[in-house]
Amino acid sequence: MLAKLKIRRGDGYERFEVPFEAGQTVLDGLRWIRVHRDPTLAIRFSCINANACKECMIQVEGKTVYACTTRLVEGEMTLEPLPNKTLIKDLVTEIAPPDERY
Amino acid sequence: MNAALAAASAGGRVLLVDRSLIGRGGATVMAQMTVAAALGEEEPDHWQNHLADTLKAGRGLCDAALSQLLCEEGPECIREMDTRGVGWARKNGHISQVHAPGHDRRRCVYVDFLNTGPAVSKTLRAELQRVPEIRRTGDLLVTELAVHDGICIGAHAVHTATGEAVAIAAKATIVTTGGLTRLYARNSASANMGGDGYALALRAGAELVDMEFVQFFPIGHLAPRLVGMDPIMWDPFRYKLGGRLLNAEKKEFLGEEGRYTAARDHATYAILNEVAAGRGSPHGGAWLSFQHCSEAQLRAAFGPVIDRLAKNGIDLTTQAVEVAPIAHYHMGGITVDADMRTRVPHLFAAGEAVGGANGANRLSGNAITEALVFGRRAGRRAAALAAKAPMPSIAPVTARAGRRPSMNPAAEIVQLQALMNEHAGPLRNRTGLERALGEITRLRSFDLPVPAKGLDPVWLDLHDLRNMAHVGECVIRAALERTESRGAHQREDFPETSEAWQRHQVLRLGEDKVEIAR
Repeated sequence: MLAKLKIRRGDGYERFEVPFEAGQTVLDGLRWIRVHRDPTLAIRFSCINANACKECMIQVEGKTVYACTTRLVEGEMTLEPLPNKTLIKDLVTEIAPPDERY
Repeated sequence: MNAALAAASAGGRVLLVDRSLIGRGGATVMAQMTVAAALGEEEPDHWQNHLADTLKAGRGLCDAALSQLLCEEGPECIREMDTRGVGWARKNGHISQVHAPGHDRRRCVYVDFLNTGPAVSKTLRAELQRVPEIRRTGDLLVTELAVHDGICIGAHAVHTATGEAVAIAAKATIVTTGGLTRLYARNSASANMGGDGYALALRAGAELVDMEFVQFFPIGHLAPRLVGMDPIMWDPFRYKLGGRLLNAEKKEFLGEEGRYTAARDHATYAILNEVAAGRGSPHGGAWLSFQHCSEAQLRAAFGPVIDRLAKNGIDLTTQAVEVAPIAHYHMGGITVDADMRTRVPHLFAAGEAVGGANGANRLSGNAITEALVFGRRAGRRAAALAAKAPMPSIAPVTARAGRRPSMNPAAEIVQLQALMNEHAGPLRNRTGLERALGEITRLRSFDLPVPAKGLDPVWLDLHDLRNMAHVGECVIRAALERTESRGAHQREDFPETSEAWQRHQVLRLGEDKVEIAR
């Protein structure tokens, strides 16, 4: 199966085609892109698929979700950083509590 | 986090630094199972019983002073967490304690449902926020410890969001970066578990011990694809419900008869042996079945978790799942004394980053206990030292504009993980280890360049690759040298345990090469 990820990067979008098997997640797809296509893609995650760290919050199709528990689907999916947080790069936003920032 | 709390209680002013978010990464937050302490809530117990079990599980290699500290002070730390409101599961008015493998009685506390680690992390995070003497800073990645005249005076870091170099002066420094399980393709690790603290300590002049002992958890989830849960989650299922571990012929092969009794190292090798003999499950593991349990029994034991499984298309009453060994914990680590001091003055370590307390094989439930106990001890000792020490001055390092290697480090990390899993995983031999050593030495043969302005994911991967390769080299060299099998270290070419090898291997950094000191 093939997912087409349309990813917000700065002012525009970039598209990546990602092969996947049923059950795989958006975070799996993003990690695949970094290994096989473009390591400059910035994403934030820690626990990978356990949904324990809550670091991988992004928007998929305009809805705020955890990338690690959102399944990939065939066809196009639009991925964007959280709109109400300061953008750091690509899909990474400033999500630390204010008193835990440098 | 417990080290910071203890240091602040002892009068210290603390800076708590994390490379991502505070208390979200690491191992504790991932722990879904139990915490061992001789509380005696369920039945009479004494810390010496816990110690006896810990030493037995450690296959003759525990550092007795560290093991004793863990077992003796464990109950106090567990009760302290209870006071802080962690929410240990209770029954009949007392803290509930269950029987986990390798323990001689019911000793292990937990938080329902599968919430032990998240609850511990959350409680500690909340405590931190109440203490003004603790300043917390995330997105700060320590790249080197700062050492002047042989004494640790703080650390050099990079603010990952901007690429800015940050020098941190400290009267005392505690490394609490956890273990190295990210080095393995099959792991249950957070992204920050690439052995950073080991690499930092090694380069600062500290010693590492028992690096060859990497614990593989035998029944990590393998298939079908499961998300939103830690792959280790079948452990609590087994201690509550038994469960049957089966080979392809749907036969039990551990002699457990539906109970959960086999030690981790034994279960790991038994599963790998079944697979090697052609009796593995379709994806190369074993079947784990709870089909003997009714829906009502499953719900009573795991409530909402059963719904999370259903979302993944898993119904335990009608199907078995596939499980296989997965890198879970590292027994080795930084050498410390019972005050958590490394051999570098003013440098401490705590938690999984410390080596020795669990010998060649860790007893189930000892990891969070160790994190709490060692953290508290390190925090107190570091604060006491800091109270007498002048504040050192530290200059920012002038960055060397090294050339950026032309590789995709994210891909190289995946390669390193496959290499470690295949050759330095649960089963090892000389040929494989030598091959891995050659490869890994190549993987770290570059100088870390300076990060670009702004968040630089490629630089972060280069940083991680370098540390992972450095630490992987330690594991491989120690595993090559140990020509016997013991606990988590199993050599196919040396299957017997040798009495002469009932000793530790200590590693130091020599001239650009890791050396094993005797």
